[in-house]
Amino acid sequence: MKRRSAGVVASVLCAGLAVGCGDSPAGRSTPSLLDAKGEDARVVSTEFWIQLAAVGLVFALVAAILVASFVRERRRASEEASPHAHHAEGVAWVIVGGIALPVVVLSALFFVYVHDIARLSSQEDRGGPIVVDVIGHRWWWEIRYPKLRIATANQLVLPVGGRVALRVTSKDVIHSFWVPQLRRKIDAIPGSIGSGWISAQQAGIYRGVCSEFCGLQHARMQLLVQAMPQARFAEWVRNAQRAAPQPSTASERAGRDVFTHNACATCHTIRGTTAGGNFGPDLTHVGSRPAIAGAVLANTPGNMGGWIADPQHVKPGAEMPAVPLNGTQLRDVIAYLESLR
Amino acid sequence: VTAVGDTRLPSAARGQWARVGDFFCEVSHLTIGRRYLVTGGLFFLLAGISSVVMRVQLAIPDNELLGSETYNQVFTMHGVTMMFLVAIPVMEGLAVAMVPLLIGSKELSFPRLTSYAYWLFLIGGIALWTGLFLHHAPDAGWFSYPPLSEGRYARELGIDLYATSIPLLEIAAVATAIELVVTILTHRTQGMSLNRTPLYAWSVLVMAVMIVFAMPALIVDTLLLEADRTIGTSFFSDAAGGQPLLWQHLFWFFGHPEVYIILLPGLGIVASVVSTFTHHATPAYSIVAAGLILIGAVSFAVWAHHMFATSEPVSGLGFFSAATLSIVIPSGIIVFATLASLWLGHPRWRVPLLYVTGYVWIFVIGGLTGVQIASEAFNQQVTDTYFIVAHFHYTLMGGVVIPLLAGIWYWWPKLAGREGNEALGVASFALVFLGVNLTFFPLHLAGLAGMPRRVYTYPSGLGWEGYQLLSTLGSFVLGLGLVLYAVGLVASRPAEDDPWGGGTLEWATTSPPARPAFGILPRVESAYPLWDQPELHPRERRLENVLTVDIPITTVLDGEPVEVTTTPGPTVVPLAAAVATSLVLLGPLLDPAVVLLGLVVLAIVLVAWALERPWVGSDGSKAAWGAVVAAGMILASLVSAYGFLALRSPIWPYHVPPRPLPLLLPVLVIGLVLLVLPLLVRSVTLSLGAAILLLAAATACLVVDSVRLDYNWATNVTGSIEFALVLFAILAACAAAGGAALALLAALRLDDAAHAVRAATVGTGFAGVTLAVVACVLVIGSRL
Repeated sequence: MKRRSAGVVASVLCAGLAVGCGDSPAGRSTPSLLDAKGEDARVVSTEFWIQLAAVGLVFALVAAILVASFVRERRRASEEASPHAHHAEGVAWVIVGGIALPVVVLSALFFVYVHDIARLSSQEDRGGPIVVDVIGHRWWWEIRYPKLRIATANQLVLPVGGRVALRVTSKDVIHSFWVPQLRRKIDAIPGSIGSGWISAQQAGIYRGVCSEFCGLQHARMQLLVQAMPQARFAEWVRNAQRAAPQPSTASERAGRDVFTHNACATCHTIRGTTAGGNFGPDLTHVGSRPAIAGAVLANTPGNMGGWIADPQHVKPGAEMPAVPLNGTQLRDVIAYLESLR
Repeated sequence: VTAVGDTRLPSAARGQWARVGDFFCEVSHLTIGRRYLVTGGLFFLLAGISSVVMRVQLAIPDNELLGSETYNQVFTMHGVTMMFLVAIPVMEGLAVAMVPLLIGSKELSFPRLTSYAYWLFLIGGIALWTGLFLHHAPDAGWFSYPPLSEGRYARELGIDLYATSIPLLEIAAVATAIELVVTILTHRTQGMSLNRTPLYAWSVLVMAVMIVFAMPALIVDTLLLEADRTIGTSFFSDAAGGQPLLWQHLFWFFGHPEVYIILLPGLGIVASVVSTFTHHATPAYSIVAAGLILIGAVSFAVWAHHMFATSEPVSGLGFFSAATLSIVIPSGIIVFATLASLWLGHPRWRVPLLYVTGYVWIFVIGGLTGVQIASEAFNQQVTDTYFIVAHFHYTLMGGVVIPLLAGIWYWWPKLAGREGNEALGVASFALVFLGVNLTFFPLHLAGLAGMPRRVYTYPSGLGWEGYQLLSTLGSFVLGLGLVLYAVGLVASRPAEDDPWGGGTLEWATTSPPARPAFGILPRVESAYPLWDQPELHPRERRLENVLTVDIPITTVLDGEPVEVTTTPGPTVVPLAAAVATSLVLLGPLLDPAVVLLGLVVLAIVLVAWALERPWVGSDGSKAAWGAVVAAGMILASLVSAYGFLALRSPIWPYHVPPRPLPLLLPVLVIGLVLLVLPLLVRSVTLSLGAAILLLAAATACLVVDSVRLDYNWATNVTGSIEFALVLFAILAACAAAGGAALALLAALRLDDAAHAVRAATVGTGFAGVTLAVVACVLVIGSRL
């Protein structure tokens, strides 16, 4: 058991150290569920330590008996000794160790389990005034704030301390929405809606992943949850509700024209332009997002260019095709998209 | 007491061509059991290699060794192979080889059935692996959740191979399971009452009963998926009213019992090994046997704990948590029975007992993390992460693989006539024990650190790479240990008849056992006859080896002989039947016409099967009950699916008018009449003849009724599920009519066809229930 606790402590230490490194744009810190930063995840991480104490004691007992029976002075096997000796003692072992012990431990744990799940699910419908639709696609997350009329992708923004109600579904196969440090999973199932709420008690960027196997790029379907102080959140909302900013340089203008006159516009929407496709992510404010391509690439002009030029290289199997653009066109499109803040 | 039937001896002189075909005609339990073990061992090697490939891919972050396309095929094949081609067949194969020896029987009840099942297993396994070599293996996980596994998202051959091979393999599993149940219930030697039956045989009995109840749900599930993929039904596709979650309910109704199905015989092996090497009778025999039964029963009530994250209404009640926790109690009983024997007995630390200590350590850790994930809240945090990967590998390595390693070493004198090399065995234990812990313990921590499973690669800097690297190193240690184990079995020496001083009957046979293993069957008076009845011990008196194929059938409770049966000789019929069955099930991969061809061939072969040995004993009518239970579970799965779709579908019936009554009411009436027919009509011939006519009439009604509809299976989900129900009813009616016809033939030809008639009556009765149920569902369901 010692080895095990030591390992867990080590993992928590790692998590702590990594979090200390700050909110890097790509969310590169250990998303340990024991390093809980949301109300929901905190209940579960506390429960984990209670469980660990209980099962740890049981394991210690079993391991002690096992080791003791191995190392103690060997009793000589005797042909004369009856194999039926010690019958009553054997029955006592089974009743005490096999029935009484588990009944006591399991009853105590069951009480904790029911208490915790009741506490979490009784609040399931008490999300805040903000509602977020989380829609899984192969292999990115569509995020909509229906009441606020905001559409974004792979980026869930919420105010620190406030609860945000979630409605989770999928447009294709089954995915699962999971932000280990903030809340438990909600499966995204086509044709049905899973609901819950999410909250963060500390500002920061938290890594979320798809946790139900969904095909080729399951490993690279992520999202970043940005928890902001109330004022910054309000500012983000105001900005996100606006139509796309007008291009301000010649290159950006050219980029917009390339975008709207090419295949890009058949899949992507940029509000305020003629691009109105709804197959891929809404790009109205793509420049303000911390990451792109299912949140696997930090949002830099270089990554943006690489992604547009050859999506199949970055994420083989992704639905986004490579659109043939020459060097100038590509540069202009990057400049335009990065300007959409 | 009657003795009728085939009197050919297994080793009697036969024609020249038959000797050439001996290999394909073999039906003896020990040979078939060995084949199961060898074939399962080869698949274990393949699955092991695929796991090492995965471990290498995951050793470092952002590894580009395997693309996602390959990785997804490899991890799917690893799971599918371990579950369907290793765990179940090896457990069944070991039981096929060993159970008759433990219960003092010369042979299984239906050796041809086991042979048939083995060939199906081999064909299904080869079909699945062909896919990987064509680079079109299944790639949606062993669980293959739709819609990911539906035609829209998985157009390749892989999922078709999955959806056609799995039913094939499961039919094989059910066939062998029925065989094992009937053998254990009717072929125990004289005096072996249920409370003297070795615990290993008990564990196999519970396992086999569970297989009969659990596997049909998966057979239904995979066939519905294949129908969605090939003929355009929409069971799982939400576009036409289907429900993706229907798959998950049926899958986990099978899938969780499955874990205990393969665990139980492991526990039985442990009980055998521990009592032999501590020279100590398993303490609290009856509590332990009851524990085995309880595990089997409760495991059917826990499936929804795999679906805690789906927002299904089953969650939040604590029921599935409670059921999941309560299954720990019988497991605890068995672990503490082992510990008590180690403490109170006289342990000799030979290789099998060392492996048992590994079982205690590893299985208990897996069980305890199981206690953790029984919590709904914690489960929703760690499900689909590496924590789960670690958990179930601890339970399966600890509860299945390590007990198998212990058991195969322990029984190697009987399986191969040899005793493994002790030094290599001890070294292999040390490496396997270290390897399992090193491979799987760090994965708990990776899961807690937020790492999801089934990812072909992962980014660096998230604190995961250390755990993954350790795990990869561990997998090499584990692999080396397994290699040493195999070498230890090969580099062995001829074994004595009773090298370990065991207490059960297999140690009264020679090493390897003669054919037949027992001559005059011993009368036993204890659960450990070799310890308590010295006169049975091979040292004292070699059991007289009389060459006879007569086998007594004994009573279920007390093991008292009531009739004598014989065992069939070598025959090619099982192989022919397996090929025909494969044509039916794998046919959709080639052409629907192949399915029809297969059905015709299968019908012909089954008739040949029955005519080859027309006499049926009381074990035959018990087997008919087994088949009816399995078929009943198929019916129950389909009716449950109907109910689930009706409840969940936003509109029901989904854009179809209520089913008209005129042709369905007769079906209902015929179904009810079939149930009471044997009571009304005394004459056997008249009763069977009438049953055949009634079944034909009902089939005609169902066919005409379905053809008259202006919608079909491809129209929408209501059409799909109605089609499935009707098709099953027609198949049940045809099978029952065929059985009745064969029994009628036997009644006309043989003096004693009572059991054949009884078996056929069980079949027609079941067809009656099916027709009545299906007619009711169609009439009422579409009017809801």
